[in-house]
Amino acid sequence: MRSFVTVVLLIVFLSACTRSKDAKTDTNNSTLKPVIGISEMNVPVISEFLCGSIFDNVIKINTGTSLIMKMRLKGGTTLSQYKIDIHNNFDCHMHGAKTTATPWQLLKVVDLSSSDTTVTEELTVPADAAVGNYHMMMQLIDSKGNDAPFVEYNLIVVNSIDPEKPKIILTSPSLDSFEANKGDTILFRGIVTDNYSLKNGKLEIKFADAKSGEIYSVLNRYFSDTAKLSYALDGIYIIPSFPSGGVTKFSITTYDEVNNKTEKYLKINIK
Amino acid sequence: MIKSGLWLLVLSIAANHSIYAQKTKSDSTLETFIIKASNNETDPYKSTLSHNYISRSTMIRSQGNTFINTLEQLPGISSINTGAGISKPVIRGLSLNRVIVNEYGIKQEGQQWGIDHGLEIDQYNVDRVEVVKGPVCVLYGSDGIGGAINILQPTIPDMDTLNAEVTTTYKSNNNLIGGSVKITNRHNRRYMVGRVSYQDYESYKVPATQFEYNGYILPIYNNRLKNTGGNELSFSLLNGLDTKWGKSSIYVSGYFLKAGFFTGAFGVPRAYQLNDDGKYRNIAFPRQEINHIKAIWNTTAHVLNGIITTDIGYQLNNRQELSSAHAHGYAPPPEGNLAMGLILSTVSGRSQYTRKVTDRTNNTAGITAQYQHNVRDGYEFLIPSYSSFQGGIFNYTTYDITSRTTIAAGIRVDLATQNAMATYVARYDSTGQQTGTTKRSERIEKKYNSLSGSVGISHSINENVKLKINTGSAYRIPVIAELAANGVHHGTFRHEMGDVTLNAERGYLFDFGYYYHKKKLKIDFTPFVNYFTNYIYLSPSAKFSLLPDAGQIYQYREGESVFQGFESVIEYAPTNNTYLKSAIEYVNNLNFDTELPLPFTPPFSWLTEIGYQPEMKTKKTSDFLISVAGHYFAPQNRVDRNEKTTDGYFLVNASASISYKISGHKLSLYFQLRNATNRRYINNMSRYRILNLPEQGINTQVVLRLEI
Repeated sequence: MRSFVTVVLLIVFLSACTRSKDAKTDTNNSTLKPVIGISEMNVPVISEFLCGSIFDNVIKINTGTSLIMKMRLKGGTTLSQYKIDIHNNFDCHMHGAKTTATPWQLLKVVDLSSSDTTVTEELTVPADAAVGNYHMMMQLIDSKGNDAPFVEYNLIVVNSIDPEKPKIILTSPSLDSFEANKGDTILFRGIVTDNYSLKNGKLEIKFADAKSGEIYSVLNRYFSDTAKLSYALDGIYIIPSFPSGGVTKFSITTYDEVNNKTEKYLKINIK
Repeated sequence: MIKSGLWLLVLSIAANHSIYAQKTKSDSTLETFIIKASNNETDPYKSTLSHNYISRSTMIRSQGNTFINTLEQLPGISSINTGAGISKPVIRGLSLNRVIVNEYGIKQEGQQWGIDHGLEIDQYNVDRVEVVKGPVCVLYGSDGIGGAINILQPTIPDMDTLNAEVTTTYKSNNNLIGGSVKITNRHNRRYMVGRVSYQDYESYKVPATQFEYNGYILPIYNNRLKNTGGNELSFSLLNGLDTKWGKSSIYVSGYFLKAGFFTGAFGVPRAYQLNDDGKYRNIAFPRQEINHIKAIWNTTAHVLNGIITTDIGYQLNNRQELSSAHAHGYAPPPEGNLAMGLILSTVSGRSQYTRKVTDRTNNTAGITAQYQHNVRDGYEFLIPSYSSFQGGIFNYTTYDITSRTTIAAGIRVDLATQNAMATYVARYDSTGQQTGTTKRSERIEKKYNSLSGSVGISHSINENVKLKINTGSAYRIPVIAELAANGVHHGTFRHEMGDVTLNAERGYLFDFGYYYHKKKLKIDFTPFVNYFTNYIYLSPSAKFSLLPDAGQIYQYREGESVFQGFESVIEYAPTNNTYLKSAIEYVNNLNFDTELPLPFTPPFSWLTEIGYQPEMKTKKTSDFLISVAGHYFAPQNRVDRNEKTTDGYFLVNASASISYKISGHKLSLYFQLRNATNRRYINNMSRYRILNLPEQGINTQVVLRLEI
């Protein structure tokens, strides 16, 4: 038993040699997180339905106008940098969405030198920015590497000249919900119209497999750079053998010149 | 990949040209073999080190989600997990490339540096395993810092037998359905052990309907963590020859895992991604697909008044991390969904010669070598393609000073080289046009050499008490990620950056053991202190990444640090058929540079178990065992910068098992209830800790094993 006590004493002694200090402000091991506070904004923050959910951090802003916000940045020690990252969320972060109108993109890192400061950011939406949903994220770190809880807004960029969505009228299929067999031919016929311009816009038809949920492309039509106010859709799709079958959701999505989007759904029960 | 694995299997079956129909009853003494094996096999020089064994029946009876989860019942072993199918070993708070897993003498190589990179081992296929803790670098070379998990060859089947074993598993929490078939055969000197296993599981259930992330409350529909299902297929075939002069065997195996990551795990989780689609068994993006193929040749020869063992292995690890491709920055959206692909080929060899020099002296001399080649693929750059070579020679001697005292000393010299080309990725302007390239990693040409040593002593104070003291140096060459990573790691969603100037990690390990073993009482107390002169760690920097969708840069650094702690196990048998067990583990560490603890440190834990194993009155039933265990995990408040503290929790597990003899065959039933109180808790050793995701809820497991 004496040997046991010796071993215990030895480990206690060794532990005592390396006791750590408690976390305190402004010491090397301070882990106090800095904080971002948004004190003023020139555009109201609203609630909006996006990607199938309600978000209460939404800002609507027109192309060519500016978002002005005042941020209070505060840390337990000297701050190092803040970062603003604006990127599109056109596809609800699911898969690649390439638009012809250029999406707005901003990646800005600013150095800081004090532990408590207020900065004013004026962010101008480019006049030709593709419209739609964007994420705007503000991040902050101090000189020790402590990160602040990030602040995020959903931006909805609206085109100042053309705020209206294009329209799709399908003449075929004539029903929104019907049955079809594998190998059957579906005729997609109809007209896309827009009040402003369809130049460089597009129309995409996709379906989500009823079982796996995987998305498959059906038809893609890219409107020319001379496209005007209407586009006549005429295409066929032969239902292949690979879908799992059952009620399958087809989406028909069309975009105008500035990326305004309209979606229409068909439910096809694939036998 | 599966194809080439099956080809190997076919080849190997062809080589094993004799399968005999004669059979005898299987031998249930297999279960107790582990302890016996330790006395007569492989490494006599381990006697001064601390090592634990776990028997096959214990492994089945207390089976966890993965092989490593099952090993966690051993003192000092824990795991870093990503969901229910991916886990990696942690020994005394040391993980990643600081723990060696050897299967049949060959070190498993599968990108161990990533916390979401699990160990590619089929747990059905582990017959015998030992865990060696303490300074094992001299024996195993670079990476043997925390210790080594040695998966040993299965016992050689009895002469002229053909046996089969069928195991089926069901786990209620994620509706896991699994099965494994094993066939063993021996005729004269030739023997064969073959196995095929498969399991498939759904997204797992947690006792929660929501979680909180960065101030947002997000839903968990129907208590299911979306997209956390997976499946695992593996096969193995061992062909051996057992002769007077020794034995020789060829082993081929394949392991194929497809496992989903929680849908919101990469980037900021959004409520709309988490809608219940009812497809719990479907494995959508993001997910990982791992193929690991192996071939090992082992030979043990009794020659030159000693034993020469030679192990030669080839492994091919193909890791694919897949994700829905979406445009990042100005670059066009990538083609395909392969975010990161890594194909690692490893050739390794080891040969050692053990002999009795005098009545009191045993000596082992050995040589090891390993060559690796890694090729990268995918639209996200993290680490470059590279090649590396490591070689070492060692000598280890044990000397019995008296019948009660043994000393052991070892010395090892290692050489290593690493080479990688500089890597460039395309750069785009705001119109999506490529304007040039950006250098993402530097050219690497590094050489290392190392001298390591260890000394140990084992002393029996009396017939009940034994003391062991070991000290040794630790050595590990930096992995390529630590030198050259520069990108957002898909698995952790952080911009990780290597430092090409890092040195080999070095440290000094001190390991003590107090063992009191009496008939009804057993006490093991094993404290340790590990000091590192330059421990390599990933540290949050004060600079932001200029890559889109990334936060601050996490930089690999090296610095002084210390790990200390202990394991304590007390086992007491108040009567002939009951036992009480209490096991305590504690690790405390400190990084001297940051004056903070290191991340992913297991919390203090205390396991208490009561078991009852009555004598069976009939000959038809046997092995009846019922047990209840309470496992307390203390809060983990010692955390690194930007790592969250975690509350403590108490888990209740229960198990029961019984075997029946049915017309000469043995049918065993293992029942287990894990997290019986459906406790909601967060594990600081989980990849999903950063999302505040709770762990698996109540889980009923039933395993049926039929030995024919």
